[in-house]
Amino acid sequence: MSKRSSRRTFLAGSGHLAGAGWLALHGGAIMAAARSAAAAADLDEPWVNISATDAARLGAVADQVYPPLDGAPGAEAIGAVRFMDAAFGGFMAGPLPMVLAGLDDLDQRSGADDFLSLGFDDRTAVLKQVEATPFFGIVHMLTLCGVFALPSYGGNRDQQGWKAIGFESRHVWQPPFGAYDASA
Amino acid sequence: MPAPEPRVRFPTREAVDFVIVGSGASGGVLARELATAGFDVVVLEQGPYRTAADFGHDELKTFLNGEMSQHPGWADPQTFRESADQDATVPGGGGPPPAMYARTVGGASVHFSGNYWRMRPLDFKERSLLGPMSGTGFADWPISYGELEPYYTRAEWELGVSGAPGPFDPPRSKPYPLPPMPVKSSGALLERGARELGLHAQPAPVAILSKPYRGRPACVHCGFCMGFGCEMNAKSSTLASVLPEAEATGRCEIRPLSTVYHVDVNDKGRVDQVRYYDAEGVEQAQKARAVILAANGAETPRLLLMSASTAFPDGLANTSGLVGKYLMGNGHSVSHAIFPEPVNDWKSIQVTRIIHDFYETDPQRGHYGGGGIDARPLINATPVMHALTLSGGAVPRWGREFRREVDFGFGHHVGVLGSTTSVPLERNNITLDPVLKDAKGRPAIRMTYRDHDDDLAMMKFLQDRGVEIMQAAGATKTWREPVVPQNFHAHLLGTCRMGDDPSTSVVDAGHRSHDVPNLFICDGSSLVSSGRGQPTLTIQALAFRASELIAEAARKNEI
Repeated sequence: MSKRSSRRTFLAGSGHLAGAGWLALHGGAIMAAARSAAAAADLDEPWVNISATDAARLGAVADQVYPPLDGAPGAEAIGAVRFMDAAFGGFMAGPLPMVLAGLDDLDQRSGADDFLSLGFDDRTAVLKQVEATPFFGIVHMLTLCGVFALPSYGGNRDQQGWKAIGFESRHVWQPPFGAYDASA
Repeated sequence: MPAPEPRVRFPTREAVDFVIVGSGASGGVLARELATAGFDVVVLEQGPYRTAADFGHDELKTFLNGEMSQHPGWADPQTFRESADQDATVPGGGGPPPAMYARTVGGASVHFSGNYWRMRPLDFKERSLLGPMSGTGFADWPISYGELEPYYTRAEWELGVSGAPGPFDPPRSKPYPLPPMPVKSSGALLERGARELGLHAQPAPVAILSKPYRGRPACVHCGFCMGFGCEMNAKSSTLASVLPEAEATGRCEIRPLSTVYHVDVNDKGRVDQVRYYDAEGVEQAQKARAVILAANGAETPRLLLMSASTAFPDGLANTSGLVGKYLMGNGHSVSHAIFPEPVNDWKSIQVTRIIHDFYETDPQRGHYGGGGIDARPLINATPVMHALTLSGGAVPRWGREFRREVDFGFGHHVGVLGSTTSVPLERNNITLDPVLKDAKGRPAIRMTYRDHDDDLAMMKFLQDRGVEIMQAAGATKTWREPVVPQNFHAHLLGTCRMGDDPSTSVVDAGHRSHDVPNLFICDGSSLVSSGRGQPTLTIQALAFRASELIAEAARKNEI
């Protein structure tokens, strides 16, 4: 089947999938998380597994990973933290304390202010200090899952993640698929 | 469509004609061929009986959770090391297991990409053509391309393959049953670049239906193909093609969620039953006149080694000492390109054009080996995996530039894959991990593997050509994945190799174990050489051929 060139290649992108990877996720738990996430997808719903402050801090980190760009919404507005909230109640329950500790660490690294009071570029500077940590690896992965996974998991609100990359969820396509098909 | 109710249920305490371990690429073919030939067959499959209705577009379940690759009942970890002087460890950090296969009815033929290359005459006799390679298991096959050709044709016609002949193809007795799949932009660009460089792209042969065929619909180009089961039954898995025909005979029972842990030998040195855990984890045993192992090139040697007994202290059928040895995975090297106009490689199947100009070993390259090049989205075909793995040089992999690359790259990216030979080496193997066990106490699969230097050189060579082709096709940007020794394999080949000499092979040219007269082995483990990638068609052609030979022996009461 697949021709992924190596595990190294496979993981090159996400850096640290530690604790969040292949065997740590379980289908049933994912589905349960999806149901609760879908129920909580409305912006005004209360958070289930994290505090409002934690949600705000995670949203700030998520927007560093996949920021708003040229008027298009970033990860937080696309619902990545809703995805995370659901995940922390299910298949990501284990790493939650580590993630919360990582958020506290961001505050400590933010000098006299806390992380949320910093501007975008200052947040970037703080995150650069921790980008090799499991904390950042997990939030990075959850952010991208929250932006691009099926909306039934609670993120990817109004399919805005898919719209940003030009993906359309359709079952059937017909040629031509791209601009170069006819040049064969 | 739920899993079909079995048309027949055989009692475990009466011997059926055949127990087949594994329902995948080869097991499915063997089951259909032997059942239609009139024999009673029980197929034991460790995965569940998923059908088209169970397959969807959920990347989290499919890729991150590895839904089809993990054991359905309990954790079954694997370990990996590069060489025998290292301690093997369970790879950390997520990602696929070292030996990657699907645990589901239909096996890896359910989730593979459908690339369906024939080997060529040279693949069966390269040792004679090129001479020996010291320190390796480089060897000729006991059969020729000509002997296997009718079965290549049967596999193509009975499973359903789309393609068109290319300039370097081996002789074929019949054309492809179906026209090639429509070309994608990635294929067109590969062809354009190849033409610029004097190379020859050809339509990719794939086990995916370009037109309705034998009661199954054509591909609808949904794009969720590699790694996914096909919702349309348009991918010619054994699940979609031959297994329903096997069951329709009323002589084949597929028993899912059945994990085999021992093949028993009686005091006459013959196998007489197979012990397994059933869906509830309860120990069962199925009696049989003969046993066929079709469990793949990792699980088959694991089972043989686990089935050690007083008569076979080093593992069943292992007097040669070669069970598990000579593991070959094919080499793979990857490069990427970005084009200015939309490519949309996330639509339709993975591969529509291939290049076989470098198939043969060329002494001028300075090393052994050959291979093929294709263009495909790789794991960038679906949104989450694209975002998680795009490696276009944006460092760090977050922030505005990263987002620009992710957003633009999804529609404009082409991946190029080089697939190569693997030199058979005794040091590359499957053994039982001496420490780690699964929840049932079965020793874990331990893979020891490091690509031969010639394999790495060939991977690099094809990667260089791939980048040149993309540049010649007008790519605005190209980059490469590092060519490094591979640490996981989806092609599990060579671990019970076929041969005439019982001291240098595990099975004979008819897939019969040299040691045990009613034990047959037919899957990726049977291959003597690796081909140039895409081994599934060869595995299935071998299964068609083996079925004929085994049925003939059974009719003569010679099993």
